[in-house]
Amino acid sequence: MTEQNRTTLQGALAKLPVYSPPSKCWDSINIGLGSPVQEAALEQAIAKLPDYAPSPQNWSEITAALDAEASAPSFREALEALPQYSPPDKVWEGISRNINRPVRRFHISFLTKVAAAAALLIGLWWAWPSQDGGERFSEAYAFTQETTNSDFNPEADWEQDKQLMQKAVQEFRRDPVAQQLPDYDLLLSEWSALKTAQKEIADMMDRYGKDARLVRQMTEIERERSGLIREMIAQI
Amino acid sequence: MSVLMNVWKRTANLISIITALEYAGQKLLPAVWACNCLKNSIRLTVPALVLALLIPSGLEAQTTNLHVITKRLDKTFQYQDSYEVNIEGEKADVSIETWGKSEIALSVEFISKHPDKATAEADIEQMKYIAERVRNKIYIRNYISVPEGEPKPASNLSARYVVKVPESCPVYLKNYFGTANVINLAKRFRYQGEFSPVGLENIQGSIDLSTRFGDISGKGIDGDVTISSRRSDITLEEIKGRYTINANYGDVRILSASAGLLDLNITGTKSNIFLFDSKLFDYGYALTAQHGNIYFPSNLKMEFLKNTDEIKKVEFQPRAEYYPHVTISVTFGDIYLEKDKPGNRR
Repeated sequence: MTEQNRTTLQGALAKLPVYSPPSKCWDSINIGLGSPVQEAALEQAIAKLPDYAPSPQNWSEITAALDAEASAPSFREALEALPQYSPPDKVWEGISRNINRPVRRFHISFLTKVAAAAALLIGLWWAWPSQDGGERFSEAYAFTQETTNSDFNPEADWEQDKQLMQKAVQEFRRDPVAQQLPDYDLLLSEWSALKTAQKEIADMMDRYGKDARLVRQMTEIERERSGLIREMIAQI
Repeated sequence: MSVLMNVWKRTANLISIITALEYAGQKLLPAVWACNCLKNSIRLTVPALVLALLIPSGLEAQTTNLHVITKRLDKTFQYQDSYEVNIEGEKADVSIETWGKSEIALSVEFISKHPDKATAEADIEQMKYIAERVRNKIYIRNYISVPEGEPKPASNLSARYVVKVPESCPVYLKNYFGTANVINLAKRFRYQGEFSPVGLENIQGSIDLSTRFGDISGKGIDGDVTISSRRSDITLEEIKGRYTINANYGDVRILSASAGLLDLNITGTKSNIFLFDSKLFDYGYALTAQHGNIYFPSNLKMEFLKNTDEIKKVEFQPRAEYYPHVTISVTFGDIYLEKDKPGNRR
């Protein structure tokens, strides 16, 4: 069938206005299609469709036909006549990358482990005493000899009057007149402090030896203790 | 000893000769007198000579030869702005100084002395040390470590530190039975010493000192200064900034103040406080002495708020609008204000 005024029709068609629906129409359609109610109706309809299974004989016949076709001389000749193409290297590389995809997943996992280990090591480095980049260290021994006229291990004679001093302190502590003194507590606490100091110096002598400086410090403490005892006795 | 025996024998012979001469010339009185004089002088001189010879030999017998083993360790750390140096010395002479490098350099010497060399050598290994950086702190410490079952060191042991830091590096020093000398720090210095005198020079910034049985002497200390001392004397010169001093059983001597002095607060118990300064009249005072006295120049017109046997309290305000405040309170001690320090008095 041939249109008589074909040109006129084509011109009229070309002049027809084009309408595009507003976007909300498509949204509504989309919502309607994706709504659970619609989907449920569709699923119900699909469930009602009958199932058809081909008979086993059909499948046997299809297989026999395909085998006969493949073994036919014309088919073999046609196959041999097909041109051979070797793919470029890029293709194989692409294939190789695709084949190795599971391995890449392993790499990612391995890298994660490495990153975790590195984070742990950095944490330990942060918390652990570290060696500076610019840290330098050296060690050396030297030997000399010196002659001294002082006693290397002087006698610890500061304990000789210990009992006498303690007796004086006890008398002062019990004395009712002394107890009224404004510095009564002060004197006793001073005595206690000096006793502690004397013990500390004696301990240091035990560990580091009785060198002149320690002996001098002990002497000063003993003098202060003696002064304190005299002060206490004067108050009794 | 053979020399001494010879001297003694010859002296005895000489005396017997003189005695014989004396006997022979009995009737010649001048001769007898001369002989007696000679004999007596020999009798007195020779024993003195013998004693003089004996005494040095006795001292020689007390002389001890000590073997001195020194172990030296040097360590250097790179410095960053947030770092602080913490030093914990025991029986150590610590010297802290500054330099222009951005490094912290530590030099430690352990010294062991004993008449027996092997003992000195063995004992030096009992002295241990730590010098390490943990985060932004550099810890330096020495100590004695004796393995269980082994005898204690028999040698005289000590340590010596020289620590060089950038001047902006904060330092915290703890020292037990030693000495310390610190110069030129500019940011922060904290000190805790026991039985260790400390000397400070040109220290600025935040300064916190605590000492027990260790005198403090300082020159040119400028900043917020807090000092707590017990049984220690404090001597300061050219002070600047704000000072809070708490002293127990030790004298405080301020030898001079610089123009930058803002406040001086001193509390003392059983301590005497001395303030020597040529600009005494430029300061405001609030002075209290409980069971003590306050001494000041007669032309410094102090106002007595309390003046009893038990407590004395005086105040003074200069005419200037702004002036440093000096507040001193003592219990069982005296306060002395003088224009000239002891060495400058005429």
